[in-house]
Amino acid sequence: MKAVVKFTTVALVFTVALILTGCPKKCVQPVKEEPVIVEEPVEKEVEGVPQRVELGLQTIYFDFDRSDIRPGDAQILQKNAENIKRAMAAGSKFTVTIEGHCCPLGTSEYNMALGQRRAEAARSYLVKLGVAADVLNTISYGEERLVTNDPNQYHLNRRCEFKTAGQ
Amino acid sequence: MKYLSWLLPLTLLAQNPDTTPKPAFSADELWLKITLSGTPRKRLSLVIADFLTPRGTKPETMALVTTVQNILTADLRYSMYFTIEEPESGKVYNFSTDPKKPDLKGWATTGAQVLICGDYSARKGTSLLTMRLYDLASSRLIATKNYPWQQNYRWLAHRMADDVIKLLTGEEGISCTRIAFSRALGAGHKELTVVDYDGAGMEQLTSSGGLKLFPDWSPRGERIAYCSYGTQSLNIYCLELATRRVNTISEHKGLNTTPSFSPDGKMIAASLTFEGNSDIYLLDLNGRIIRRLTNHPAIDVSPTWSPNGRELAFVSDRTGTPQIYIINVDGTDLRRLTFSGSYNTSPVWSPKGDLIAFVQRQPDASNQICLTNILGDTYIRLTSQGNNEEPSWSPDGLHIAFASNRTGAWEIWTMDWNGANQRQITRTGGAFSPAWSPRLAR
Repeated sequence: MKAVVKFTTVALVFTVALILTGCPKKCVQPVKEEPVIVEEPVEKEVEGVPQRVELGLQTIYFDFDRSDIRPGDAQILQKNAENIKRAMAAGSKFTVTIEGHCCPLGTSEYNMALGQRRAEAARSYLVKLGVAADVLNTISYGEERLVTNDPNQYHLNRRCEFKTAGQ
Repeated sequence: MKYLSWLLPLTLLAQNPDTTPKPAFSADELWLKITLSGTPRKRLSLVIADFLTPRGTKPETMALVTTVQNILTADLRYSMYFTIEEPESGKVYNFSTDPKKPDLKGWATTGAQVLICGDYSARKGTSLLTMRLYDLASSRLIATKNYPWQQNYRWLAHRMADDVIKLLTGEEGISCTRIAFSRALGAGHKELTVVDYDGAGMEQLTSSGGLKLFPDWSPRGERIAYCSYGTQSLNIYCLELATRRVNTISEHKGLNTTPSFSPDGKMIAASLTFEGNSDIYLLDLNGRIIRRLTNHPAIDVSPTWSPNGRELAFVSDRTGTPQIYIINVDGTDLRRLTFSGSYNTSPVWSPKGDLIAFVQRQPDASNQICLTNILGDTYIRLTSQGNNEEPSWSPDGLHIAFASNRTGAWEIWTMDWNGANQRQITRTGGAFSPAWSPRLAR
């Protein structure tokens, strides 16, 4: 809830700033200089790169060599869908990139494809819950971005992360 | 039975509890099934005389000439075609190799069939290394070959080795080959790197950051296809080695992955996901889609060409687990190749056409390199220590490069096709996805 409010504030300030300065599309205003949002940890903006937006979307996990959504993770997706829909209803402009990841127990080429299928599975699930398909992108990182190298924690690598970016 | 020792790795037959039981077969039966294309069974015996340098040659040049002799010896030993006679430890062969009156009768007492001599000479500013081959049974000169001395003495030695192989066996050697791989330089950072097949001369090919994955050489060695991320997709690019220019091949939405050059170098097979899920496509070198080969909701990835370009093997999990399939290049006659084990991936078709190496997940959860004939009715496991993945054939089909973490770090290794002589090639850590080059001119 808090995150959504914060996000709306940022979006509002950003829009106001744009209107005030009449900045052309390519020019990006340094949002971090606005005093209103000093406490907001908005990532330092690089020209041309969309800023990270915080919707509080949670990571989901998978069994080895599987891409079906487990019951517990279905609940997480339900919450993620609600958060996305609420932010959209509030008029925020953003996209969510669903990143599929795998653990190094598999092999790297197959894992690249498996990560994509995990991301697509999560995407389909969110769309079924009413999230507009066109705000959801997918990409796989296979086993290229592990969160842990500890074999006892490999299950934490088998995941989908949800990265939100404003437009 | 000289080649009985070659059969030893066959005793490491993969034992997988969840496979359908197969009739036991003897090593000889398996040998016949696995070696239909005919690996040399009887090794020619060579002896390599110490290379000669004229009186007054600088010590550093003498050392380099000895190094060339050592590299030549290592190449010939590696080739699998020869045995090399050596004096007992602490002794030397001191028969004459004087070109005018070589002591061939003396050399014949070493038991070798062929004598290799080398002479370094420097006249009027040009330096030459002259190689002579003698048949010791008939005491006749087989060939003489001159090599202008060059800065890159390692490649001079490699060229000599491949000439010896060609002269004595009629086959093309692999001494003038390199192995490209994806080298981790930090989190989320892998660059294309290349190393001679014997581990010397490592060279970084790219330096633009990001992840560079799954390299594949064009059949003439002038370019390397690989994958790297764009803003919303994993794309296929092509590095032109002469100019270091990078061309974009395929950048559809989602994955453009696991590129594989056709044997004629005119097409790239790859796995693309832009039509909903991963399927195998054929692209031209501009990335235009020539044909969609598979159309199935399952994962289809890692295509590899038969050497005649008429078929491709690839990985699909259409039955619920990843298995290897073969399909005709026109998209017809799909058939399953692997039936044992629940996770078979990373197929690579041997340049001789009769074998496919692949990676199989074992009951102990490790990944190991296996070899099957293209009938898929028998297979052998080639590795056992640590995890061994991402096989790539040498152009002569007698060796396999792969990535192994048996030392605790991921390194590139090579082995003979039957699993013998496993050798560590890199010592950098973070070395993945080896791709063995074709023969290169240097």
